[in-house]
Amino acid sequence: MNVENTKSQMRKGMLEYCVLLLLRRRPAYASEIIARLKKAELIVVEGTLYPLLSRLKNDGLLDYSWQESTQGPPRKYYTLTAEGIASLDELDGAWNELAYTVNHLKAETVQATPCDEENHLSESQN
Amino acid sequence: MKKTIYQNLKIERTMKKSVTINLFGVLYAIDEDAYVLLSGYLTDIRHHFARQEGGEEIADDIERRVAELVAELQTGGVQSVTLEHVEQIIKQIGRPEEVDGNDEKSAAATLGAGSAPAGQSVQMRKKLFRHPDDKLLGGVVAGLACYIDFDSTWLRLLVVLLGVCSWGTAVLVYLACWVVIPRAVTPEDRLRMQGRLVNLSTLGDEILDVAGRAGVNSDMGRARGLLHSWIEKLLRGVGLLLRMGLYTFLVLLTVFPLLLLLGCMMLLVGGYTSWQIGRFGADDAWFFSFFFGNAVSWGMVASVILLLVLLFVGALHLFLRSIGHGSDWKRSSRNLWWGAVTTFLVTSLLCLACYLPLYHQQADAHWKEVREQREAREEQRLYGLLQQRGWNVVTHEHTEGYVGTRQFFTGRKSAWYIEGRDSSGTGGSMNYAVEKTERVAPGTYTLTAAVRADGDGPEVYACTSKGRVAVAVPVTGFKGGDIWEQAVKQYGDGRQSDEVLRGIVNANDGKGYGWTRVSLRVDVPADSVLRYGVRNRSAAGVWTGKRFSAADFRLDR
Repeated sequence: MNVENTKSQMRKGMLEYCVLLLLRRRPAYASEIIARLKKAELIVVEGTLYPLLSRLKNDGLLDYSWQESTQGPPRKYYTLTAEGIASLDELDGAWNELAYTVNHLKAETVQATPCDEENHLSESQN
Repeated sequence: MKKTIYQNLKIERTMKKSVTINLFGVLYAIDEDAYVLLSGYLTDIRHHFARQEGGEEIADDIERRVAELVAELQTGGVQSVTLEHVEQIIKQIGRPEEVDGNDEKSAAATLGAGSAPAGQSVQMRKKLFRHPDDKLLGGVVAGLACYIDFDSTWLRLLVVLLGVCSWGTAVLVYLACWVVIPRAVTPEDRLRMQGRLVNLSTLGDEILDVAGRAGVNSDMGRARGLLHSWIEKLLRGVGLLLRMGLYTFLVLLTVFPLLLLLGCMMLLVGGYTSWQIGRFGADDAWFFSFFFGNAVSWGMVASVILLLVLLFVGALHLFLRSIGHGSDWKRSSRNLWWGAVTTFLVTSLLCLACYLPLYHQQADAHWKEVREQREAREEQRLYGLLQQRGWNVVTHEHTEGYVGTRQFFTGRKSAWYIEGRDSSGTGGSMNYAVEKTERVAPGTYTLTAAVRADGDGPEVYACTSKGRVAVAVPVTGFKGGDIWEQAVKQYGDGRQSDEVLRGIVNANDGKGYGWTRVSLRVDVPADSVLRYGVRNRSAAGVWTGKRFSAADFRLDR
């Protein structure tokens, strides 16, 4: 099993949700989104974002407006549409469930690890 | 140096090694080699996304991001963008195959690029392209040589030999390949053509390599002289014309039968419905058969042409896939192909459905004609027989046939007798008379004949110089009859062994054919011939039946 591949798959799966999350608070343009995502190590190459944004826009989850920039080309400021907000809420629910399940699973497995037995031993020694 | 001008990327030459580009209205200085890499990158991006929905917009966005990064560099104090800068930008944004995160293939490509940074030595599956740099005509042979790892000059010689040996068939194959196989346009294509791994370093090398080669080529072009360049231009022009011709031919070959099929379909449907509605009377039958028949046959022709084209295109697709160009078969063209296949199937089925009844009709007509011809021949034969036996047809109006068979009173199917059938369905219009002239010794004779009729009028007559005598044929119809009744009686009286009698009794499955024997007496004077015969209309001109028959004339003294 390729760990790198799995990690990249996990990131890929999260990407759409994170982009929508980033746009919930305020509109942003592509480079801002890229900066945030890079910081969170969610994307490796920037180009990945553009097809995603285009798809979200075509699906009606995003909309954009043009704004002039003091330097460089004009920017597309992306905003969430009502539909986008609705699907974000849905994704929120899905994420919470997923996070709960994963944490729950982790907690279960942690209890069964040899570490715990060591703890018991140390307790008994006390 | 000649440069391609992209939508948002314009170039103005300033120095020997540096150019100025215009990105979204702002000018930036960039090194020439960096420019080549950058423009190649942007072309690849465009190429890559051109295949998907909204791809142009994505490419625009990425180009905008490039401009942004270049602007940042300038703000950071960079005078002229270098190759390293461009490489950094490309690394940051990602190669087209890294960017498109949707399919598995790209993930593999990204991983591959990561695991094999050396690049050049890694061999990938080759893709067949037309070689743009080593070409004489279309670069087909050069591309093939690259594909199978063979020296292009020897292969060229081989192809020319093949062209001579195959009486020019190879030329057609060559032209087809020219049309079908794409030219290696982008650096990526060129790498794939050579089977080299596509990643940043190999691409950069390739771009610089091509840029260098372009300079060399143009120098060489000048050195080779005017004649050579003219020949090359001429060849290129001819090649272009041939290619356009072939494309047009293919398109026409598809569009024409499709339109034809469509027209035929409309004609068929229209013809069929109006035929069903009954707007076609008997007088309009030609119209019906003309359009119906033509639509069907043209529809068939169109179907066959279309089928051939579709088979050809399908084979082409398979061929393209086998040389590694599967993705060039776009979704839209695949849908088009399936659409054409469906149209073909529907129309050919429709044509077949329409053709079958038509075929039946035609077959019926054909067989009817054959039957009529045979009947006519048979009738002529029987008429000949009539004349051979000395019978003379006096009148034959509104009459079908001269003689009959199959209903002779003895039951013998091959025996023939004089018979006239009224040609009008209702009867009453026939005028048929047959007679015989005999020179006989003077005296009194008895003329007997077997006759039958289904209406008043027919008579057996005899004429001499003294006058005319006649006896009317009794109206018995075509069953029973005196001859049959007498035969039945005699048969019952113990003459079962008489074969003729048995035949008469059993005729028409024991029902008889309606024959009656009539007789008349006639005096023949010394200086006269005797004419006798049968006719369907009496002296008064009466005739109410449809058919009459006469046979077995006997003249006894």
